[in-house]
Amino acid sequence: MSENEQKKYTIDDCEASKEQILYADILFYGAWGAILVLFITFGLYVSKALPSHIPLQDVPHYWHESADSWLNPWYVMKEPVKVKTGEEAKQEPVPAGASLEDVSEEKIASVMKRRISAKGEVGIDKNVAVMETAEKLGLDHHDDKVEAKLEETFAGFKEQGLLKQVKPSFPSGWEWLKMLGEGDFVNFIGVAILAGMTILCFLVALAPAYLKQKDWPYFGLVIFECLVLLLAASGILKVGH
Amino acid sequence: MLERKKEVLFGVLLGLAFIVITEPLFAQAGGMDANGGEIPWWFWPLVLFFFCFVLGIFAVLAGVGGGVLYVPLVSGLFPFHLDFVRGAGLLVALSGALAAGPGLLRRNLANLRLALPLAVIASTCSIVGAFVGLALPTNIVQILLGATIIFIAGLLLFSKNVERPEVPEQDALGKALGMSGICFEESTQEIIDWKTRRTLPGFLLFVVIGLVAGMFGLGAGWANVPVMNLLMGTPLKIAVGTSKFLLSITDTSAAWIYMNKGCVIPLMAIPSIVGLMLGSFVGVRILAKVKPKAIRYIVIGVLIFAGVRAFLKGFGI
Repeated sequence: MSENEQKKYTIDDCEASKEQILYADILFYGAWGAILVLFITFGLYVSKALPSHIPLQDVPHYWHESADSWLNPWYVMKEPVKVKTGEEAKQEPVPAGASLEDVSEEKIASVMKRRISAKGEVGIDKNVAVMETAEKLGLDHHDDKVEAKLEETFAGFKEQGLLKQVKPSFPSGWEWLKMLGEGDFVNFIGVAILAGMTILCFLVALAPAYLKQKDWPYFGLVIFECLVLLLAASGILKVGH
Repeated sequence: MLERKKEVLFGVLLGLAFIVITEPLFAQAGGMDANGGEIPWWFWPLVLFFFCFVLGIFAVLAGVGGGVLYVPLVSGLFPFHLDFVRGAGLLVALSGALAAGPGLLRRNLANLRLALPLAVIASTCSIVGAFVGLALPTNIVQILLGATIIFIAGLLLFSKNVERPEVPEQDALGKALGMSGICFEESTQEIIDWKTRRTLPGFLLFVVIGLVAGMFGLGAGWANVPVMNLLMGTPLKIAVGTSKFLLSITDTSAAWIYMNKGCVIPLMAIPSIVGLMLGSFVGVRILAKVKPKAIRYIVIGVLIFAGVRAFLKGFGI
């Protein structure tokens, strides 16, 4: 850079633009406000001032399984069957590459009952029950037919009243808004404010400024970014394991 | 040169010691939980809070973001499924970036004209990354996470940022988007006039950065800074400030995907956020008094071992 070029600017030129300052102000109050809300709502939750959808003492039973399992209800057998444990269980042969036709319905039901019973009082959700039963039978649980058959068996247990629900389902998407009376869900207010700050700042600080400046490329970028973030926030996009 | 080698060795050894000492403790506590639920519900959130507090201090001293340390270490040492660790990791990185954003914007250390095009690319791709990460089997994600963490450790070890890269002429795309600015360097009392170069390759790399951020919930400061500084030619100060601000946008989109998918358990996410933020505050104060160069190497050492561990865990070893 030549010296002449440097002389063109003064310290005043180094100041942040008006829209940048407005963005900073909104972000400052919004982000710190959200963190304050997180403190308060988490206090309400762990002090048990609000009832919990899932009792606090039960949460550690579920967080080692996937998010899909966390969302599902969990069950135990009302009358658990005898389960092989320790060395006995390890020595049990697991057939490899079996096909659905090779396995009788009774065998599927028997293995699934044992898998559910093995979980004791903590229980199991449908997906894990299906996966573990398939593994024990040497079936591929990614196979649609296998999955459908095992899910049917699990549903049959429910219909026959063999299962007792020990964990309710946990709402996904925006359903938590309807359940703000429960301690688990009030925490999402602060999280949603944190995750919503960028959209607010873009719409209030940047979009009007670029529109006024007729800076169409950046106005377009701001609107596109808002649409991307709103799409992500909407919960329309679905994904699963 | 010899001095640096000693520091690297010292850091790596301390990192190894950290993993070796802590892992049996965590493994034993996890066993207690699995065997009979003797551990009360508040045990893991409390341990997580203090762990994240220390992590926050180390992250600041080492000059890395919280997310990049949080995901490999918490997924390796705590009994949480990777889905929840990634969800909390994104919120940790997001809250840190949102809290730092106002100061950076007011002091013009984060530049909106530089950040916006990059943010659009990275945040769109982080949604795709989140989808891919949540759709893949957990063991595959573990393997990829391990490989990414080892790569990041290498990047932190070998990457040499440049204080003020020379950019004689701006490229056409950067010029068209007005990706340039002026900032005041207090230490030298100079006014720095900067502009971008190689803007298109920079954009393409932000596609990858967005994918990785969404896939693993890592944050992406480790990648933003070298791309903006070394490739695109922005001064280091602007690259660091804009990178931190950029995370507040990039991680927002992926955080929504993870949140909507049920990957946020408040009992573990909130202690992580609060612990890391408080740790970062303390870290900044310590940083003002000491220049702990070795800390960076300790963190790199911890990252290498956390990466190897995640990699092996993915293979069931």
